[in-house]
Amino acid sequence: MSKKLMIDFLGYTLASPLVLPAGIMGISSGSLARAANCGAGLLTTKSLSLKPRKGHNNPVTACFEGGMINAMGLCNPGIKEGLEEVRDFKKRIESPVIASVFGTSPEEFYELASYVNKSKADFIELNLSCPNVLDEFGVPLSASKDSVYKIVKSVKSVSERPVIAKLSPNVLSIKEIAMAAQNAGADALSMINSLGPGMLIDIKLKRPVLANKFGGVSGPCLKPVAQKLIYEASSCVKIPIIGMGGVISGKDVIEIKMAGATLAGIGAGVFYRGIEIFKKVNREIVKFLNEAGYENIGEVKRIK
Amino acid sequence: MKEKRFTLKIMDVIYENEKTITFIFKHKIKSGPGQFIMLSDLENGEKPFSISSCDGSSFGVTMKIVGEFTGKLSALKPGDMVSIRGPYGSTFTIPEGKRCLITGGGCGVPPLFFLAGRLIERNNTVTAVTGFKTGSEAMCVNEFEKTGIRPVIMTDDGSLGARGTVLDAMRDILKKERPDMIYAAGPEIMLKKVMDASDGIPCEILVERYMKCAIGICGQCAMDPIGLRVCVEGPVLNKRAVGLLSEFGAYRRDASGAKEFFCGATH
Repeated sequence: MSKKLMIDFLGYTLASPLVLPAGIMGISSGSLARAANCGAGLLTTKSLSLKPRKGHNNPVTACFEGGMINAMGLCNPGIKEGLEEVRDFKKRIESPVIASVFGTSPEEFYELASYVNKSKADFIELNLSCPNVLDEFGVPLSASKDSVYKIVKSVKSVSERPVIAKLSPNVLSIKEIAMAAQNAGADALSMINSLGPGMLIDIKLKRPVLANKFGGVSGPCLKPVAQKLIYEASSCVKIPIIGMGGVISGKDVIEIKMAGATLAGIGAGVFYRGIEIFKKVNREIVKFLNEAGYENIGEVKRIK
Repeated sequence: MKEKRFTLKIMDVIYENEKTITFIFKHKIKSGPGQFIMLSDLENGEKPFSISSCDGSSFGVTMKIVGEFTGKLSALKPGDMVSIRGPYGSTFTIPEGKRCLITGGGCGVPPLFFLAGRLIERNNTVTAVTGFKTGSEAMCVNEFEKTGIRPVIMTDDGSLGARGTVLDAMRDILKKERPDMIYAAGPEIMLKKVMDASDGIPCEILVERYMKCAIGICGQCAMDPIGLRVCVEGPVLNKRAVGLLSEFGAYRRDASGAKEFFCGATH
């Protein structure tokens, strides 16, 4: 990979600014390896909970003109087995890994962080914002700055890994939430999680397309929302941001960086351009840097 | 890339045997043997099913009634509608003028019937072996015969055809003739044995894994250690691809993503 793509993030030098976000591909060591070999610089596991979860019934995805909705329902084999996958991955590949974790209280997040301490994962990401388990757990934790503060604080008191807080776009003031995470000691933010949730209806069967009825909205239509929220959050926090939401091209990566992100996640893009999207986007970034006269990706800064 | 989802009326329901039904849809799709669709009533679930027939104007899928969801589907009648996504995945290679051996066990047989038709269209000579637990579970026998192929039928209990396994019949055939190509679909342990017995002959098999998104993003059906996605790069895999998969024949993953190890052979 081109040296121009190398970028520093929380003490690590990544080979590419592209991140495999939580929930995409990352259920197994093989999947993580595939994304790394395809050119992602940082890989995130599916969100791991204390106990295994089967997730929602099928259908779990549905597409529309502007993107897709999904309601996987946080399926995962549990934190113990999930971290074994990270161990198996690390036996073969050196790329850094984020362990995404999902809990319902500061105590649960504390316990999850204790597991991550004993693992090969390099970072811990707190999924505070899944929009697809409203029936089960109510409004996502990241809707309230107090919950965000308490959970991040609780995890910071135990975690030996840098802590990343994953935020929801469905809030009145992203600045307040981002500040709460930073004030509690978060080392980075990851944003945005999928929007909504939304809903799609089959007009012939007269039923919702998803078994869960509602599902988080992702894909190209998310791009303007993501850029606006990252721009706002980065105006008031100093910690780096993993930006995601509608990133499917090298140009999108430059845009999201100019909005204030340090790294860029690619999720739904794996559907739109195939698993090779990481390679393609890396190439497009280098092309842009060359044409626009940047030495490396780190030189692309937030606009005013 | 655009997702291919449509809502179709079931034109016909064919009862293959007590536990197996085929839905026929009057809808033109572009598909090759080995590919699958995701079928849902948008009420009780959604599962992948191999395409068992496909011509210019219609296609069919054949399913074994094994659980709650397929049980609900078996109550559907001509005129009822279902949601279909696909076709997805890779297809079997169709050579020209070659000698082909098809081996199928249980639910693996219907997509091979679709394959047999396409092989014959291209002037290949086809020998088919199908295996079932018992005669009442046999399927596609008449369909095969319509294409001019008389399948060798094997049953575990000898209630139909010869007593024995697909492997027994395959070994007998390989003693007498050397096909140019071997195809297999069925339980994974059977697939592994077919591959092992294929003795340097090119071989393609149809692999099954739990599926969720079927569009390559959720990782549910990815196989270790290379993260091969059965819904995109599969379900048809050749020997070289299978050789890279330590997971093949060893384990699969349940809905949570936890490993489920295979125990012993069934066919």
